Amino acid sequence: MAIVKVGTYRNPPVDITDYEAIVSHLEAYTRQVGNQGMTLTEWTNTTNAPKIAMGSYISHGGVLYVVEDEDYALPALSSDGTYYIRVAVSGETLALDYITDLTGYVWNAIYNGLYHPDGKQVLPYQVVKSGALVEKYKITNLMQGGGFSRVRYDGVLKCESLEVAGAISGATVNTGQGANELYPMNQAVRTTDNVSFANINPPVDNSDISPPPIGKGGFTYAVGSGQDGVTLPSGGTYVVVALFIGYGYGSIARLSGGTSKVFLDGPGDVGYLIMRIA
Amino acid sequence: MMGYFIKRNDNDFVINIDLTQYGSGYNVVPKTLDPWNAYDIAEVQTYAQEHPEMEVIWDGEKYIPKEA
Repeated sequence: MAIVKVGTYRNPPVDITDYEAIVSHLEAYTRQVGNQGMTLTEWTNTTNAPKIAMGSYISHGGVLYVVEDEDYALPALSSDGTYYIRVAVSGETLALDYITDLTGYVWNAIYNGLYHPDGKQVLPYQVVKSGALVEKYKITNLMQGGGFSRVRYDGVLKCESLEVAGAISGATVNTGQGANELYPMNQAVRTTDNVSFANINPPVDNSDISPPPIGKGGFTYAVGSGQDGVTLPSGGTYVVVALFIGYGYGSIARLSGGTSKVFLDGPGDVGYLIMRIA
Repeated sequence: MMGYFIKRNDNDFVINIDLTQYGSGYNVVPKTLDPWNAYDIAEVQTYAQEHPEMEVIWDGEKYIPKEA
């Protein structure tokens, strides 16, 4: 088990070893073009740690290596956490292990990889261990060095934020409150918002005899001289309870919106409890 | 059903009036004025045009046909 160089050749070729190395590179590029390998194993297994698949190519420091003979075994995952696969040169071969901290790694445009100044690089994969669960991700924006967008084997995408120009479709949305269905909504509905609904609405603070609009299910209060009556807000149907203040008798009526009515004709004040019912 | 109706102006109707009860019915105004309104003002306007015989007025004591 080793990750060895694909071969080196002189240019122009001198003897058969140069041509053999060129052919090996051609084979490697043919296999990689349009089909960059998912070099980890155990993609669909959620409990086994991955290996580096036999036949995978790794470009490191401008030299191409291949995993020969058998899958390359990575060190055991020691504890729960998020791991990255680090590549280092070990003589004529590569040695791979896990790290959890990417401090110091920056994108190297020449070698097209995320490299540390010590010459080591990390591969575009993430392995997350949580108890018996071991999940593997392919990182799609390794060049950032952090804030990764990554795709799990089953297509689950995890990223820092999501922006779409079109619609988002799905069964549920989970913002930390559990998986919930999302229904049509056209207003803010926080506890501090003034909400308005077709059939449930809050009270409207008022005391004038020409009350402001009230939503269905809402109510308000008005007070004024009995002789002046009250004019209901526009729209819908209301139930009005009128009470002659200080005299202890009153009246109740069902009225359409916009109606003006003198409930209790007299010089004293009349209080109105106005409830919209339709 | 829109039944007997009062037309206060082109954008203010009371429909489904119970002729025996003053102030009865449902007030239809544009949703810009009453976003909770259960009716579309345009539909009521059309109904009013097609059923002039259902328009009533309050004569101070009772509802009577407007045409009368």
